[in-house]
Amino acid sequence: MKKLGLLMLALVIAIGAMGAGYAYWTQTINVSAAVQTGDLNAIFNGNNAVDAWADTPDNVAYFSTTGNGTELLTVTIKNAYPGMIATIPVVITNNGTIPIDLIVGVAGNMNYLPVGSTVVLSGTELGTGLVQGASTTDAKITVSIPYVDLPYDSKLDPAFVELNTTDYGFTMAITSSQFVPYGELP
Amino acid sequence: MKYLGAILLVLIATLGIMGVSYASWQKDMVIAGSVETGSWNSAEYTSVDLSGAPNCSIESQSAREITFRVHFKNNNRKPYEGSITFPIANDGTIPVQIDTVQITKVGPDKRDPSADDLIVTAWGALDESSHIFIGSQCLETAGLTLSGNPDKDDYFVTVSFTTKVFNR
Repeated sequence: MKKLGLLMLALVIAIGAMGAGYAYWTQTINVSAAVQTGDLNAIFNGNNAVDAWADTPDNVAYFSTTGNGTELLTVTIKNAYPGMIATIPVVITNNGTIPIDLIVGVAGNMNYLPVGSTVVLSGTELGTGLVQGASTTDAKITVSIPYVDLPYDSKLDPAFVELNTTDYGFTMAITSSQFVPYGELP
Repeated sequence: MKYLGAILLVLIATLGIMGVSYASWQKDMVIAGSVETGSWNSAEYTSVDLSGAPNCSIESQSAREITFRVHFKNNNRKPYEGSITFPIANDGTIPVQIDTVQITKVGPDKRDPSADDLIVTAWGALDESSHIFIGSQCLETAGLTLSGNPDKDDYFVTVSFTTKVFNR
């Protein structure tokens, strides 16, 4: 029995040593990862111009814009008249780190604009993506007011009264979203 | 059934979180525009230069109508040549264009004199109906050329015009 005890003791020590040896060869290492998202930040840029009317035969009507560096561009057109087509450049810059695409909404709240008037934003390079620091190059707003065949003698005509006394307004929403190349899954 | 409500609650919360996450990758921008109309004052005669038309005077004048009187009696019955200049200005900001031009001649016998007696030709802005006045004190030169071999006394020439909004 005495030998049996020694044998069991040796066996326990041997198994313990095996455990120590096994543990030595299975060291665990950990990898810590941090994922920080970029920022999506589009702004109007370079729109503080006050310029002559570019698309009429005169310098009477003109426009001005404010809102450089912000998300709200205010466009003011003065001395508008029936038949005018005003073309106003709009520069949108990707000030963030995530490539963006621009989704242009339909102009709304077209207060008092005559029937048939249109406000269109074009050239926003939809589908091409704007990377960090890039700007639109051909974006522009085109405001058109239909021509009214109104002789001067009809000064009391309601259309004339509206023509001379009414100020118009409009708004347009633009959504900048993460650029997803067509044909690829996000 | 006890867990069904909890599952639905978790599902709704999950979808809500997804919505917030999706929205965070979009950003809205706004263009706000205001359009102010100009003023419409049509176009009017301004000054009249009669230095090129001897024996001619203004009989009456309004914004868009002038009547001239030509005293042929003082021309010693010689062939007459004269030129009258009268710039037309648009004081408004809305571009206008000439719509109609009307020239009438009345001889001493209260009738339209024959072409041999008096020939009146409009020139400058009144020469064609599509001429444009672009506004803001814009001046366009216009005038009349008078010629003929009158054998009578005074003749009256009236020139009037109407305008309308410029049609692009």
